[in-house]
Amino acid sequence: MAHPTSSVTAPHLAPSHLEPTVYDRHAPSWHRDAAAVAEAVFSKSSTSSAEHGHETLEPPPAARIDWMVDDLDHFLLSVGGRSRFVFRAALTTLVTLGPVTIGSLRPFASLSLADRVRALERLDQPLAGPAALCVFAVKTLMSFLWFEHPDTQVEAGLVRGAHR
Amino acid sequence: MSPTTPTAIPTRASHAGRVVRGAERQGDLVLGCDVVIIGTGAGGAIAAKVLAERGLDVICLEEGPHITAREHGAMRPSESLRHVWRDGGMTVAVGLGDTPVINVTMGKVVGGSSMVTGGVCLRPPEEVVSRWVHELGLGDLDLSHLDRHLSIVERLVGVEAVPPSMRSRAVQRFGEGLAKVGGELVSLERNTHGCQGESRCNFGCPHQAKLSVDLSVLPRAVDHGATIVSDALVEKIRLRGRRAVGVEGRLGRGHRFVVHADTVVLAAGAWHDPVVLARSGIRHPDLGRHMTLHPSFRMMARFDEPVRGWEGALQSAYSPSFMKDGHTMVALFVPPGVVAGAMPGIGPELALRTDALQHIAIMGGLLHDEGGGRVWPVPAALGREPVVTYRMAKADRARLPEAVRRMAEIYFEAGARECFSPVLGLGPITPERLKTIDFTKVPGRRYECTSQHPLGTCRMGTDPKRAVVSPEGRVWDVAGLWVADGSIVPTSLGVNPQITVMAMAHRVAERVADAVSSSRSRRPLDPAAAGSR
Repeated sequence: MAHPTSSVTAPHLAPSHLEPTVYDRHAPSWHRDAAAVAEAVFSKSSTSSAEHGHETLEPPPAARIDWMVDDLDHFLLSVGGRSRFVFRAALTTLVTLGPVTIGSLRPFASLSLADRVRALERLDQPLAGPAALCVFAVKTLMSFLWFEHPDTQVEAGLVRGAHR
Repeated sequence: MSPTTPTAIPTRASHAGRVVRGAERQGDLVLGCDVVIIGTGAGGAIAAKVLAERGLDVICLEEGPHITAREHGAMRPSESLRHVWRDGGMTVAVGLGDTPVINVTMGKVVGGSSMVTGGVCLRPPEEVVSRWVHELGLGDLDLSHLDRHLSIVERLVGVEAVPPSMRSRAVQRFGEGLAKVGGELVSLERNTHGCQGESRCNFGCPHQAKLSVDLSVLPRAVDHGATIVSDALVEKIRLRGRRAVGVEGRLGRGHRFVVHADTVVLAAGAWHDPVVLARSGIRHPDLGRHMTLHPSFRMMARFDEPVRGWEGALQSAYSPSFMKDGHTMVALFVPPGVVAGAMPGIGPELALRTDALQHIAIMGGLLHDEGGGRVWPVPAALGREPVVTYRMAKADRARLPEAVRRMAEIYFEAGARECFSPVLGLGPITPERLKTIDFTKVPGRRYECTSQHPLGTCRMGTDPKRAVVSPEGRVWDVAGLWVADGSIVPTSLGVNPQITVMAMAHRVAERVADAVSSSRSRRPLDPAAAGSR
């Protein structure tokens, strides 16, 4: 799962007086679940393997996942308790129901990357009802942060050209 | 400190004309002034400026922090979201019946929601104002009267038309599609000066080009002696009998504050005005009801060519061509991460889509709703935030599928390869697939819906039994208590409300100033009242 990492990070640019007064990080299990979901959401097909007819999934760089989970932690500590509860409830729904949708009783974080992708895809279907809304909520906030990482911005061609 | 036994009331000279960060304050705070204003957004800022210029001692209380425009412009968008937006942008109205959950975004900062708008400043449509005058009896709101207030606030916040050169290729494609269906693309008017097309107006402009009220209005109020206290959450308005005599609440670190004032102007926004009034013991059958939201739905489209939607103004043009059908379409862009999050797929399928972000265009469709929202204050023990519900009117619900289909058709006319609708789980839509989809069969809960325009929860009217405030903006039956923000707007507007809210706040503030002046001229005859401060 280890991949080339980048030394580039997106620093906190907000003034220090806005930092949460108590920076009480979430529990490690919460970090593990968030990282497991993020890895699945942002995984890609491995091109080199596909050339040999064996398409495999490639997780994103581990350092970028770590950065995003840290930033997500900071984000949720900066916003109100109700938002924090809603997001964590949505994430818990995904990691609880996800394995069930693919007939597994293992914890979500211990599933293979392919199984995690499959599980989230099933929850993202209309028949999954409110779970689809949970996928949407978690994916949207994670994507918001993910695409602020300088490396992701370069890869997606988001670096701005000259101003008008 | 007992809130009823103030320990000190500083003189005007000791606190006037500055911004006090309530979160840094050590100890309780007791202040006195002529007028205390709750909220510093589009309504509160305008009221502060008008009243301070009239020579009144004004204190503005803001629940959120004080963040300078320079600090805001230096933030990443997600940092803006976590520090400037209420609840990190995750506030929702619960959909009742066949209504989607609606994500309602607001600012919680000095400058209020004007800090998180795209800057759009459109005047209220004539037919809307006509309805206020002829159906609701609000004769003083006709355009000939409102025009003066609109013109003043437009000059104040620097409203200008967005030049076509600030349209991204994505917006141009929207215009091309519109032309093919007989629609018209019109430049938006916005409160900007020196816009360089960073396309992040609602997340802080790096060049401070968006003239939100923190830049355009509040400095003028402060220049005239107004004081702004940030991180100051007002919990209730203090009443003596049926007269407002001040406010009380808590500062960022939990210290208490009291502000003594004979006049209170409430401008905490349509979401929170009913909460403050209810917790102050003010009851009215319509308090918190009739909320309109302009429920909005986005449509994304992928083109073969790169359209780089983030180049140019965030919101440069719109189409009023379908207003008669109850919806307005606006070209816009949102941070790429939000676009990516709304794309269908997980893992490789999502990556396939996000690799094409440069090819994605977005438009928003805004419904002119009839107002099915309600703010339900919760007991103080459960926190301050209310529960808000919204039941879409039948007519609005019927317009929704029509608007979504039309948005897709416009993009396909413009040459889009596929569209991504606001229907969760629907997947990409091709022109052929669009013909087979019956949007009227899609349940409301499957729509992804947002709103930036909560209005009308303390609406004004001529009948004290059916309106919370009088046509002048005064809370019926409570002396010295006024409301000056979007909550008094009597109906949905169908366009972005910022400039209407400012104009109505300007109108209310002039009446407040007149009332205070009138009361001051009588004060020497009433020594008991004079000694109560």
